[in-house]
Amino acid sequence: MIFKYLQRDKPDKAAKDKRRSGDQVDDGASAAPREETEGSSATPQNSGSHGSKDVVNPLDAAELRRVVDPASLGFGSTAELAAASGLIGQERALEALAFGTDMKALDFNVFVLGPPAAGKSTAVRSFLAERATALPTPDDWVYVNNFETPNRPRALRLPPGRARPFAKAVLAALDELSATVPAVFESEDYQTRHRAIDEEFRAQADDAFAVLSTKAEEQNVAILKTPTGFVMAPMHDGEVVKPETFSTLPESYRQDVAQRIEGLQKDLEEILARAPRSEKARRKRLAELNEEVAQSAVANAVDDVRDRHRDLPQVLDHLDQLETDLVHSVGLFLARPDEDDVVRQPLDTARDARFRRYLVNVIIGHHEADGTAEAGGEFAPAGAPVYEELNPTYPNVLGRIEHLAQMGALVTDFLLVFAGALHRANGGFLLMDARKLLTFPFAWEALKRALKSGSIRIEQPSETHGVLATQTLEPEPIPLDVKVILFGDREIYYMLAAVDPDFSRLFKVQADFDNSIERTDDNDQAFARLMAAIVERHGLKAVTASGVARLIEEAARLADDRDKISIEVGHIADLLREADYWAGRSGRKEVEAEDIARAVDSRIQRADRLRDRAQESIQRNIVMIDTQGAKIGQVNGLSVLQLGGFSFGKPSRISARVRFGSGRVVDIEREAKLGGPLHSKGVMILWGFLAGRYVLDQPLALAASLVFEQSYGGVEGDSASSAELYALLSALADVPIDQGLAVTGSVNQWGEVQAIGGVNEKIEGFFDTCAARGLTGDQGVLVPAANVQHLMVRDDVVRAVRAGQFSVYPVKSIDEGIALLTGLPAGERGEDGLFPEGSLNRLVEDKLGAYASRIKSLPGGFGDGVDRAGAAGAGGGRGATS
Amino acid sequence: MTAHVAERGEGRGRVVLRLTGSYGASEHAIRAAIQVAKAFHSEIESLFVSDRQIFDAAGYLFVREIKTSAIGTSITGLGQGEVGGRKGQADADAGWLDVPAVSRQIELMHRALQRRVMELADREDVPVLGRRVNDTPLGALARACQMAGPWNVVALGEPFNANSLARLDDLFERVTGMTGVVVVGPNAAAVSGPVVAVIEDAERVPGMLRAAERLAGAAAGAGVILAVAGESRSSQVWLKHEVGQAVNSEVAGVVELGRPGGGTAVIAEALRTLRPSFVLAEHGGKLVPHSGDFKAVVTALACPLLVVR
Repeated sequence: MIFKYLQRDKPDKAAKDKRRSGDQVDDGASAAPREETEGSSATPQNSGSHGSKDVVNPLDAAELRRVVDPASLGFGSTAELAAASGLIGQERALEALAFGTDMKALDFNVFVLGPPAAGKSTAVRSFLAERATALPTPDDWVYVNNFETPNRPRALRLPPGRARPFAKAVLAALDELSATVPAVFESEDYQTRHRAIDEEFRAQADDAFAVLSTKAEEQNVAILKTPTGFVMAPMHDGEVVKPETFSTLPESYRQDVAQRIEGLQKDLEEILARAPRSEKARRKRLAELNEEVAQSAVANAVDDVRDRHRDLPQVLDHLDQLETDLVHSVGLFLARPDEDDVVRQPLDTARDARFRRYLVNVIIGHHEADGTAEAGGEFAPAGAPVYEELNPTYPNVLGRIEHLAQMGALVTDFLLVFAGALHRANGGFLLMDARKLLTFPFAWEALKRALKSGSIRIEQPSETHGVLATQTLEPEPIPLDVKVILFGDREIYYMLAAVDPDFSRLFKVQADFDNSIERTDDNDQAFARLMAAIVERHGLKAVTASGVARLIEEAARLADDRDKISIEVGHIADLLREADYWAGRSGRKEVEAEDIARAVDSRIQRADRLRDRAQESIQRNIVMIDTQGAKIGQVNGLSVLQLGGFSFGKPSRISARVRFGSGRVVDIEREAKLGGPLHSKGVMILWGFLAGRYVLDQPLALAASLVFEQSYGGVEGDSASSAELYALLSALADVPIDQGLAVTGSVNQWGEVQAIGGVNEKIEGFFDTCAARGLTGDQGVLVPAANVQHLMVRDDVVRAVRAGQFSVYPVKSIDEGIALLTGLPAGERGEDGLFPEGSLNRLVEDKLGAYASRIKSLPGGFGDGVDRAGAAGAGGGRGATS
Repeated sequence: MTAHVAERGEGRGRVVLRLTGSYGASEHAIRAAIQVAKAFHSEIESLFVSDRQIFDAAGYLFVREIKTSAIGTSITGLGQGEVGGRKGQADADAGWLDVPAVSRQIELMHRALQRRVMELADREDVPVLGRRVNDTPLGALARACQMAGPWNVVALGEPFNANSLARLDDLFERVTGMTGVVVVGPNAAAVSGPVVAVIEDAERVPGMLRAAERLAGAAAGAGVILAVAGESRSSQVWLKHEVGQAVNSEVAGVVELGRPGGGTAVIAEALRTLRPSFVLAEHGGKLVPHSGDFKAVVTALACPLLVVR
């Protein structure tokens, strides 16, 4: 929560008139805040020519809001206008962008700074789209299998528009082979040659075995097959002789049989020993036959692809390797589906896992026919790509390698390599939001790595950080030529510049988009054309001149400056779309000023619940705010609460109490740790003001305390410092402050009132409080004169001022302000070195002089009961007051 | 003799699928047996023969087992030389026959083959009677067919080669209750083609055609071709004419099988070009003569061959 403050005072209308005419007003001096009755609070003590210097006249109603005359715009509605093609009033940013995009270097990337919803992205895309069409369409890229090292897929570069035809051609070749190879291998010629080889080798084994069988049979030896080999045994009548029968035969016969069997066993061993060698030789011959037959079929199919890519040596090299592998693996095309399949499907080379290694993974492909480039499903006009990555995660930026679960293991291949934003934008422009990029783990580092190395190397984040030990792919890096455009607010830019040395090296161009533009006739016209563009883009109703005028006023309000127009296109477009809705509800065909006003009011109504609660608390005296009468040491400050996209002002009571002491101003907010550093700074300045203006030759023997009453949250900012000073001066002079006035403005050590922010909301906040209790005509707000140029207050405030029911005073100095608030002239130091009698400054100096005299009278200077710890300045001696 | 198998429940025969623990069995042979059983609405007797002669041979001290690590295939996937026990391993190393290991191996083979037969037959709704015997391969068949009745077809589980075809004579002679025998060769493959009946005698046309049509019916979509093979050109023409007269040409195509009088090799090659899914031929004819060189038949046929008596 941010508080920013102001104040004024005013006993009664008569006294006010006197103050404005320079007359002095008497006051009832008192150290404590107390109620003052009207007429008694201001006591004229001195007429002073000096008083005329402090006279401040309230602002005219016309100065509170710079109204646009619809007639001055020179058109009836936006339908008559040519829509603005891009941003308006952003020449500096666009020049930077042009420079950055023209620089042909990987380190001259662009950081686009500016407020959110300022239309940066739209404008930059529009700007780049125009440039991109003039640039050449970048090359296509594909990943293909690396037949030598499959885990390192090869990246092939092809001229734009040729990647997809290449992939299709390879697929067509495979399809062709799926038809021709089986035909070739089923041909009579092949079958005959195959059988000849089979027969040649089988005959060798069979013949040998047949000879052995015959020989064994002749010798009455049976050859029996066992599960793992052969055994031989004596045979009679075609059956093995039982051993017990055999044992009854003569010994010599048995030995003879045993010898014969031993001989036959050796013969059989020799036959079997030859079998593996024979089988190996057979397989070799068959493999040679297969390759010979396959060679012509494969070459025929691959040549079709080769012919179309004669100009691409890299592709030809890959095709050579592909052809070699196809010849070796031609059996893939001969494999039959499961015999149990009821319906046999033809081979589907595009989906069949066996053919994956021959396919082509088109990472980036451009369409030849329609002149568009495909990038992750999006089609962009021909030329250099302009790609915006809305979700800049690591894989989305750098690309990813996916895995498939197979048999409980994760497997991958080159077809599971997917492009990232860098691939899609390669040769063109990549747009990303800096905050999102920094939010996603590893993404920022990955982007920097790619830019520094000038190549896109797809890695798993876990690999990069050495976490994953599993073998995966290492796709060949692709050369990078991209211009990265990052979008972000200024805080991110300066933070990156401060903490990341790489950032300044890689993002050498900043395109700083302004929040607002000067309010000139030309810019009013440009703004109107911008509205026409929004109308066109969103398909809204045309906006009449009065509507545009009202929009300009709102844009000025949004800019917090009546001499500027906010160009936060997002906010204005939202407002216009809401107005379009209300115009439709009212049955209008064009958006009028009242539709804009209704949209503004509706938006406030939707968001102002807390404002209503705050005002209700004041009306019910839960939060004590006086809007009439006068009190010593008490002033109405003003604060602004920013809640989401809605901000509103509300008054706060500030009070001061003083006593004899050691020159210390206690900031209770700070002591309670509720005050921010800027607020504390403002309070310290008060001490500087007091010390520099009053009792210059004596010690400042003052102890004072300042507090924001009923403030339970934090207080930050110095816009209440003038209000605090008024309260302090009132307390020192014992002169009451008019509670019908509220104050905002910061102050410096010379008493000059300085500009603050949120001036419109502050005025409106106090106005709402007063209006709820009934405007008296004496109420108003003191604002820094420097803020007059920022005034764009609500219409109801303007009307009240015009009717004399409310006032806004532009104040340049504390003297002007205190005169308004107390009715006493501030007074200037005369030739005698003294302030005029009866002037407020004189009263203050007398009080401080009395304190100083008292301190001198004490033995040893500061005596018992005097706080000396804080003598060094405001807040210096925390908690030491007795 | 007509190729015929008794229907199930008739109690007069069946398809006897002979499996052995030594050779394993061809998947195509099992399927062929099932196709025959299905075609004739019969049943299968899955007869696993544990060759007792092997164990007789083990009783000889001078006999040793000669391992064939490079020869022989098994549909069961059992590894060669999977022998149990320390003694078995020692005997295997020495080359002597390890009886417990062989017994174990045969038992495992038996279980695996029977399970596979059951699976395949279940798919075709063909009943299976599983049986294991310790006998000689030929003797086991003879006894099984004798017990089952006169109308059996024998299917041999192991792939045939030139030698085994030559032993068909023994089979037809000793297995009396058998009307035919189904064999598959070493080049067996899944083929989807016509059922081809080799006609060498006009009188056998009706029986061969009926058997062929039944087999074709069991293999949905298969047609029937009657392939005539005559001794001479004139006899072949006459035979083709006779066959044409006997059959409805819409039911079956009639073709001449190669050059007349060309012998087994010519007929086998002519058969191959027809890409048949099943071939029927008579025993003792030109394709399967009582004796001769069967290498051409072994090489040419990728489909089962039903040799009828």
